[in-house]
Order: sequence, then structure tokens, then C-alpha cells
Amino acid sequence: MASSNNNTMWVTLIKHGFRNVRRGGLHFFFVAFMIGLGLYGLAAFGTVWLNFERLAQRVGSSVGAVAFLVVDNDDEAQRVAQEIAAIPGVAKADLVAPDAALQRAVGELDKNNALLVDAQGLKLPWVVEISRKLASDTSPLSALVPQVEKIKGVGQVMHAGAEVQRLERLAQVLKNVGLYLAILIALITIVVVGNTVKLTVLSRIDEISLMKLVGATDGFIRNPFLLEGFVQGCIGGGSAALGLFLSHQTLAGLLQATLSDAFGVFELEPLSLNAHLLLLLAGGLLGLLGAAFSLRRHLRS
Amino acid sequence: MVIELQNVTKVYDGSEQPALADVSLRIEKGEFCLLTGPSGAGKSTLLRLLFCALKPSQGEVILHDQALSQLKRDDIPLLRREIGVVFQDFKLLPHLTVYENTALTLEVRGTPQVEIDRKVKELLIQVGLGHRLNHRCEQLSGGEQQRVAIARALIGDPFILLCDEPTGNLDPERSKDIMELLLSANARGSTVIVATHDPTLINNYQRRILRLDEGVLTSS
Ligand SMILES: Nc1ncnc2c1ncn2[C@@H]1O[C@H](COP(=O)(O)OP(=O)(O)OP(=O)(O)O)[C@@H](O)[C@H]1O
Ligand SMILES: [Mg+2]
Repeated sequence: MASSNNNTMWVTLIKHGFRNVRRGGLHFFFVAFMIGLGLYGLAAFGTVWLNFERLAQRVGSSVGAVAFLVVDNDDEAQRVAQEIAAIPGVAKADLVAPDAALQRAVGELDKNNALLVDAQGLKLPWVVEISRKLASDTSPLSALVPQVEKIKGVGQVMHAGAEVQRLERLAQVLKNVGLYLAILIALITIVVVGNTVKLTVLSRIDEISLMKLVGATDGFIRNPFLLEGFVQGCIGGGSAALGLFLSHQTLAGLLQATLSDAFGVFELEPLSLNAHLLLLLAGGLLGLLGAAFSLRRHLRS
Repeated sequence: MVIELQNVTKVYDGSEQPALADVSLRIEKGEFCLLTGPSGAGKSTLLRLLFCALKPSQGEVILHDQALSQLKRDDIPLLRREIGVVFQDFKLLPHLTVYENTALTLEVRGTPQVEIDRKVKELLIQVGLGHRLNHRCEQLSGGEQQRVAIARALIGDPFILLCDEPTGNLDPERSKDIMELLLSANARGSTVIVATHDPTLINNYQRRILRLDEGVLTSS
């Protein structure tokens, strides 16, 4: 008996839900569309952002500094390298011993062996190659260099300071603008969706109050709206995921070609499958919350 | 007794004159009362108090030994399922069909679909709307709409049936049919209150008369 009653409630819920959708007409799809648009904007932004992060990381870490040591044995050099590695903001400090440096030079210059003859007599110093952590969460390179210079046993430090700083500043600006835009998109989406759903509720206020008068519980009234909102959100979120996938298919190649010119081989990776599913879910949740929120006041009175 | 009002006064927000002033009355189970009085006397107000659409400013309304002021929010829907109401302004949902409007009363209770279908069709034929099941209510005449409103109130076999001018838009022939419906609901055990200022109704049906004048119960 209880279960047959439950089934009846479900049938009624779905029937009422669809009745609302049918009546809502374009309204229904407008909300779905807005949710989709907002989520698409956010996700497209997220994709570019994530890839930019990866790019910045690569460029940032490839641009490090080189410290020439004034030491005369390997132990001492090891110590200095460890001290450098311990500085906050340093990702890696690779010690290159004179022999290895020579080997490298031989490798690079093997076409011109004659030079090496002279090089044999030259005493190469120990060198530490420093690469930095991601630009975003550490102090700029210019702050790092003096710290390295202070360490006993370090001679000269060479770096591409100004270039790197420019890149870092650009990265920072892009990030701030990105964050600002993302928040703006999110806010606009929430406001538009909220208001549209509120209009839907207002247009059915007679229906809601009549349902109450014939003995409907709050849940009975609320659930079709929630279902509707959820379906709307899922349609929106699903479309956003699909749109994102399609635009990656079509636009990524273009962007890749452009960016590769500037930064070397660069691949614009798509968001993961999970992220696409998350988008669908986020849509559903947004629709659900929108409906719940707009109904809250009307079910109280 | 099913219905009792104890010194009920209702003053609407923003108005000085009470719509009901110190009204006390008892209605026994199975009674059929006509509630009458001039326009603005407070008939609709009294009915609204009974199905919890309004709260009294003073006094207490008791239904089935239950003081409405003590009723919890969640209990109000359950109470309303025992009461059928024919609203003076019908309150039909214009874009829903005759069938859908009538079925609403049963749907909110979780009545199985098959049963809803059988009952709704049967009753709509009885009120003379068998050929209008799938018409939207906005396409109906005033009298037809009134019959849908009555069907929606009757469909749940309510313990208490409150009718606010149920024959207001009907010709005498239809009025008579509707009154027969209300009387048969009464015969099946419903307690019925009919608000009306139709003198023929009052003369033709010799029933208990509750008379309101400017919010005061002058005869019961
Ligand atoms: N929502 C309201 N807000 C303020 N005053 C109201 C409201 N509803 C009714 N009134 C006032 O309360 C008084 C009683 O109204 P009510 O509707 O109960 O009268 P009635 O007897 O049903 O009249 P009618 O026969 O015209 O339907 C009237 O003076 C009316 O103006
Ligand atoms: Mg009235």
C-alpha cells in the first residue's frame, strides 16, 4: 500500500513537472540556455586558464638562474648546492661539476674540436643551475638572486631578470583579469537564472496558492519545481559540456598554432571527462538551487 | 459537533471595521446551513476562517475538536483535505483542463491514478460537463466554470463542504441541479455550509439559516 502510494506520488510528480515544462515553453529553455551559457563561459575560461598555468610553469621553470661557485672541491660545491635548494621558491638546484660541464661542452661543440684543445687548459668552475617554482606562488626571480648571492661560496649569479619579470607581470595581470571575468560571469549567471526562475514562480503563484488550498503539502508543490529546475540545469550543463568539447575540437588547433609560435611547442589540452561530467552536475545543481531558492519565500506564507 | 466558533472577531489589516465581530456558533455533524446576509456582511470571511486561509484576530475556531490556533503548519494540508471549498471566484487554473482542475484535489492526496480517472469522469458527467473533460477552463462559460469548481470541491468526499455562492452564475434549472448535488453530498455525511444571498435558495430549501449583518451574527 505504502509503495503503491509512493508510486502514485512519483507519477504525479513527473506529470506535474512535465505539465509545468509544457506550459513554461520558451521560458524553460531560456533558463536552461542561461545556465548553459554561464557554465560554458566559466569552463572555457577554466580550460584556457589551466593551459596558461601549464605554459607559465614551463616558461617560468625554464627561465632560471645560473650560479657560478668559487669553491675548489666537490664537497664544498655540494654544500652550496644544498643551501641554494633550501631557499624558498627554488624548485631545483642542479650541481654541474667541471668535468660534466666539459663533457657537455664537448657534446655541444664537437664540430669544432680545435677549440677544445684550448679549453683543456681552462679551469671550469662548479656551476649550480637553479630552476624556480611556479611563478604564481613565489617571490619573483629578482628577489631570489640576492639570496643566492649571499651564500658563501657563490660567485656570480646570472639570470634573465628583466625578461622574466615582464613575463611574470603579464602572467599576474592575465590571472587577475581572468579571475575578475570568471567572477563576473558567475554572478551574471546566478542573477539572470535566479530572476528568470523567480518570474516562473511568480507566473504560477495562483497555482501554488490554490494547490495549498486543496491540501497540497509544501513538498508536493515544491518537488515538480525542483525536478524542473534540475532538468533545466542538466540540459544547460550538458550543453555547456558538449559545446566545450566541440569548441576544443574546432578552435584548439588554431590557438595552438598561434601560441606555439610564441612559446614553442604548445598543446591546448581539453578538460578531462570528469570535468565535463562535473559541468553537467554543476548545471543540475544550479537549476535545483535556483528553483529551491525562488520557492522558499512563497511556500512560507 | 464539527464546527465551532468562539467569540471570533476578524479585522483585516488596514481596515478599522471588523469583517466579523464576536461571532459564536456551533454546527453539528451532518448539518446543512445557509449562510446569508448582504454583500460585505462577512460571509466569505467566515468561510475563509474555517479552511485556515485566514486567522481570527480574536477568538477561536474549532474543527473536529481541534483548535485551529494550535494547528501546526504541517497539519494544515491534512485539515484542508477534509474540507471541500467552492470559492466565490472559483480559483480554477485557467490553462488546465476541466479534468485536470478536478483531479487536483485527489492528486495532492496521492490517490491512485486509476481511481482518480474513474471518479473524475463520473462526477464531471454528473455535473453536466462530460463533454468538456479536455477543454481548458479559460474556454468555459461562467456557469460551466462554476460547475468545475463545485466538482473539484466534491470529488474528495469532504467531511465539510464550504460553498461560497455556488449558484451565483447559474440559471434556476442549473441552480437546482447543483443544490441537489450539495444535498446528496450532505446525505452521504458531509456537513455543508452554503453562503448565498439568493432569496429563492433560502425560500426553496428550508434549512438552518445563519444570518450576518456587518460582521455580526444576527440569526442562527
Ligand atoms: N482581503 C481583504 N482585505 C481587507 N478587507 C477585506 C478583505 N476581504 C474582505 N474585506 C472586507 O471585509 C468585509 C467582509 O467581506 P466578505 O468578503 O467576507 O463579505 P461577503 O459577505 O462575502 O460579501 P459578498 O456577498 O459580496 O461576497 C467587507 O467589508 C470587505 O470589504
Ligand atoms: Mg463573499
